[in-house]
Amino acid sequence: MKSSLQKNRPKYLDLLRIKLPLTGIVSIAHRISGIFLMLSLPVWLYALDTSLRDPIGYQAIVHWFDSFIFNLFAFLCFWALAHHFFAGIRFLLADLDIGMEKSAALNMAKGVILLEALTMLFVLGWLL
Amino acid sequence: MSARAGGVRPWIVQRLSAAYLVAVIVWFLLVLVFDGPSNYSDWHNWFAGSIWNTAVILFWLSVFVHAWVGVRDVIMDYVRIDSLRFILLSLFGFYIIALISWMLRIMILAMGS
Repeated sequence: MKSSLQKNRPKYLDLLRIKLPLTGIVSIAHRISGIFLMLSLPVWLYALDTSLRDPIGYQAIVHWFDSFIFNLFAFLCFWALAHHFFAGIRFLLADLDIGMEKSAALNMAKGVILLEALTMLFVLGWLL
Repeated sequence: MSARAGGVRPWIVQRLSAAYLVAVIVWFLLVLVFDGPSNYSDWHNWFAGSIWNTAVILFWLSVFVHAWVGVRDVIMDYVRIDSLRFILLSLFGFYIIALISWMLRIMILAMGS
C-alpha cells in the first residue's frame, strides 16, 4: 500500500520545472545545434555552387554579407557550429574517459561555454 | 549516442567523421584567415586544385555521414510513433542523398579550369 505522501510526490517530468545542470544544457544544445546546422546545409551549398560558377555569382554571394538578415543567419550558423565543435570535442574526450568526475565534468562544460563565447566574439568582429 | 540505436559501427563512424571534421575545419579556417581569396579567380583556382578539391569532397561527405548518424539518433530517441519515425527517417535519407549528389556536381564542375 502506498501512502498518500508517496502518491503525491512530484515526478518532475514537466520540462519547465526540470532544472538541467550546465553539463545537461551543453549536451542538449549539442543536439539542437546539430539539427540547425543540418537544416542550414542547402543554403551553404547554394552559396558554394553560385560563387564557383562565374564572377557574377561570386559577387552575388559576396553581397549577401551586405544584408542584415544574412549576417544574422551566418551568426546563428557560426554560433551553432562553435557550440557543436567545442561540445563535440568534450564528448570525444568523455569517450576517452577524460573528465568523468562530477567536478571535472562541470569544469569542462564551463570551458566549452568560455571557448564558444570567445569564438563568437571573433565571429562578431569579422561580420561587423 | 542514442540508447535505442543499435550497432557499434555507426558509433565509430560518428567519431571518425567528427575527428576528420575537427582537423579539416581548423585547416580551412587557418587558410581562410591567412591566405583567403580576394576575387573570383583566386576562389575558383583554389577549388580546382586537386588536393583542396579532394579534401573538400571528403569534408562534405564527413558532414553528411555525421549528420545522418546524428539526426538518425535524435529521431530514434524522440519520435516514438513507428510510422512517423519511418517517414521522418525516409525523408531525411532522401534529403542527405540529394545534398550529396548536389555537392558532387558542384565539386566536379569546379575541377575544370
